[in-house]
Amino acid sequence: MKKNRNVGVIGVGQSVFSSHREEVNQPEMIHEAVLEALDQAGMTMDDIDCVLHGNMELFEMVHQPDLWHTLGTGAFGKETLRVTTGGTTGATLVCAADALVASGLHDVVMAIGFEKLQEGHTTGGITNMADPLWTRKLQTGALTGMTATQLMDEFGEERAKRASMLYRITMDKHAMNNNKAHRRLGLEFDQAEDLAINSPPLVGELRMIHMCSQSDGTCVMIFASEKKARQHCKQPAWIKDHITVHREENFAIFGDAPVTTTHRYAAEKLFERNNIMDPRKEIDMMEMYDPSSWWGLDWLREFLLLEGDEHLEMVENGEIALDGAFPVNPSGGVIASNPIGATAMVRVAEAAMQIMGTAGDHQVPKQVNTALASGFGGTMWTVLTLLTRDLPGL
Amino acid sequence: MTEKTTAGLVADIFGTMEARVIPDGVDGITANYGYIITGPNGGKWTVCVADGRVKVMEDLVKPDVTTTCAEDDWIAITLGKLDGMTAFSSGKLKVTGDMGLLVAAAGFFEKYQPQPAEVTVADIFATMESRVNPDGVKGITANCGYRITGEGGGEWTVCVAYGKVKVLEGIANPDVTTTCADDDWIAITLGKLDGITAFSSGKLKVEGNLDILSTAARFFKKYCPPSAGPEEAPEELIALKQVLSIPQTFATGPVMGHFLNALKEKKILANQCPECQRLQIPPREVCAECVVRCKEFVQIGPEGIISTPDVAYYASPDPLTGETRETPYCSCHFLLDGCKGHETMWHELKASDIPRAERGVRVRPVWNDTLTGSVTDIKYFEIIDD
Amino acid sequence: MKNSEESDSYIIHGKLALPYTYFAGRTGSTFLTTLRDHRTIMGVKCTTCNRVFVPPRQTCERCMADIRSQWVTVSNRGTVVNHTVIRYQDKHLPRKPPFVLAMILLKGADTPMAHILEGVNPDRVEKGMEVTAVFSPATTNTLLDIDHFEPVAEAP
Repeated sequence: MKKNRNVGVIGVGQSVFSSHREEVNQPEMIHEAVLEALDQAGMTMDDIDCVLHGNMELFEMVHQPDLWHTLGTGAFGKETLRVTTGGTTGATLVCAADALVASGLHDVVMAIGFEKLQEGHTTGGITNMADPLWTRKLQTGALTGMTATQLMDEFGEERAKRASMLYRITMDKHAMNNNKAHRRLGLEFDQAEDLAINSPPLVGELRMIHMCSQSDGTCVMIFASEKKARQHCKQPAWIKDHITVHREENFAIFGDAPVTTTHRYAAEKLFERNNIMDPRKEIDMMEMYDPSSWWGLDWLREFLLLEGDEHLEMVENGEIALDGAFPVNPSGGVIASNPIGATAMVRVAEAAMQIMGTAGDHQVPKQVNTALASGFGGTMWTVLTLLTRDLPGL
Repeated sequence: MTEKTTAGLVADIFGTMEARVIPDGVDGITANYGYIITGPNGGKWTVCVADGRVKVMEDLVKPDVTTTCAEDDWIAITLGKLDGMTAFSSGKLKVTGDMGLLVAAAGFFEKYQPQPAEVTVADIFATMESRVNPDGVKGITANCGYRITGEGGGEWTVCVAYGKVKVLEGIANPDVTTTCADDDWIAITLGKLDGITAFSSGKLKVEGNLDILSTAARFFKKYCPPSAGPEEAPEELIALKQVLSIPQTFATGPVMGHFLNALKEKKILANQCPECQRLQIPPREVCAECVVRCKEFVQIGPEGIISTPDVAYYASPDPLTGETRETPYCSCHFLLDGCKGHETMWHELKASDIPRAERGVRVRPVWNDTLTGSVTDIKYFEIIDD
Repeated sequence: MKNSEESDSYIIHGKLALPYTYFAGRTGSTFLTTLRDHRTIMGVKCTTCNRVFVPPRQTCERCMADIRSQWVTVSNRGTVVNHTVIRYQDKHLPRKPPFVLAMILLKGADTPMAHILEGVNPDRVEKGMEVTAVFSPATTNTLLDIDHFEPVAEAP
């Protein structure tokens, strides 16, 4: 990626993620995260040049929400842009903020991703993403059991089911360290067998325990030019590169021909142009948009360009745990917290915090020099963001 | 909560259900809900809902859905101290049978109010040490004896010194001794009987240093009966419920319109990319892979095979009507005759064919009686029996 | 197969129907319950810029000050600072046309509030006209617990 100048993340703010936020309205919930991000960046609203705002309107059915939300965003009298790209909204907000600062248009940009899913009907909202002439009638929200079926076909029912549950319990153990996380269930590994049988099925072998939550929450990130970043932050997390890959809207991936996923395609391109030969060794951790533990398990293979059953082994060996060789989702991931318009940004925010050393109880023990974050949405849309501790060369 | 009060609680929760029925909540529902509550005070119950009424029976009687849960968790869920969905997700609450029925059950009953457990004189004295008001006992050194008469009575000495309180059984070197009937002492403690009135009317008798007793009113924080929650009024947070319904009209355009129109003649069309030759179902004006216009239509199917079946147990709303769909239903990708690879068509499989939904099984469309040129012209696909 | 473009382009009807629940939050709830139970209109005053906001908010969006506890009571009377006449009919509108929507600056407030103005010929509404709140007999827990505003009767 060609850039005019470097861009660093210097502040992250997150509201508490929860399914019950009756005591705050939308701008009030957003304001909590705005204050935290400003505090972490050592800034006031006077330092912010531009505010980016994003979510998906159908989840709350508020037209032009950035207007009302000025009461909480601090955008009064400032340049404001609104970005909405479905599940990837949060990651696209990061791309937009990076572009605005790298281009020289603005020195400091605040990006806000939020959702208050308690106020609407999540599955109903997602179903309406589909083409109203044909597929809207057939869409089942964002729920599908197809990945589970494919994994069981490939690796045997017993091993696939066990690995997806190990992934799930590992994520819960991570979430237990994150006091912002929504679902912190206190699961133990000896519950794996019981949960795989007794958790109610949603679609196919996708069970309730596998699936992400529906949360209320806000994520705010502050991006600054190299000069401003150094003035305000000892260790910014630098945005090295990001890539967005789309597929057509009607999937065209089901059937009996092999498919190159947008995840693998994006990872190959991103690693190639950044000279990453062995992602598991050269990248220190990953924060993945994992809508369910089946997808989380399957997508490890795609993002890390693994072959065969290497991704299952990573889960079975505890390599993805907080103190493992390749920590995945120290935050607890999307399965724990999912305020959708913020979700993809929380991934980048977590990766940034791991580099900045500000992740607190969910900080991975080893030093994080390079971190990868993924966003996911729509009919296989991928956004990958690569962040570094060292200043990238231009 | 003390052990004494939880003993009958599970039975009481079920025992009071018939009295707590919300008529609108059970309207139109016919089902038996089984409950297996584990633990020493647990048991099995069946809540039978039919004709707008509820009958609770002991043991499991032909349940349509059965919930299994430990007694402590069940009490916590009923009292709103444990979120049902969290209990469910974490495996504390297990469900077998028709899950969909449980969603409706949340609206069956008025909130359970536990009967206040009997207040005893012993409990009042037993909780005193935990209810000490530090400011109230500051600088006071005194032994207050209490002789409570009646069946629930007894003798205690409350020893106050150095800002601490120790409650002993029996009367030990009292500076002042109060004598009172058990019922009156409970009434005074709960604030139902004024202490001075009781003293004036002779219900409460005092021997010794009366001045000490006048300070004793501030020794302790208010006594809360065992199962009564905090008495603060809950905060009122306003919520506004709305169903937002927006009428829409969509232009088909010539490409989708051609495809949809053909359904009226029970024909299924695809259009073909002139470069990669792939078929698009439904047709798209441009092949997104090759970025070229696709003008050629070909007829496919109508029979074919199941490619990827997806059985949904979660009832999501039909976005065209807002109404909840019946579950399970099977959303399915079909490979129609004349198609290959990813050239699948997405539709539904007949619900009764779900148990046989496997890759490769042959299917045919079942057409609606009235054909309007829309996705609903095909009711569903069904498996072709040999 | 031939693609006859005209006959193949037509309109199909759809609908989007989804349930929503909006939360007023603590500050909004206090405002609405006070309106409902005491027929009193409350605002909050920013201690930095001294503006009184009606309806209230937790944060002054200009100073970023937390003003949620700075409650003040404003008058049920105010003046019309601007208005418009709604002359078309639609099911989402609160009244049949023609009716007046006015920006009303209550005494003690610094921000005008939009509401329905009745009791005056739409063509006779004037800037500076003094109006008073008429409360609704039934509550909806919304700003429509003030049913409408109407002109203050001239003193005899």
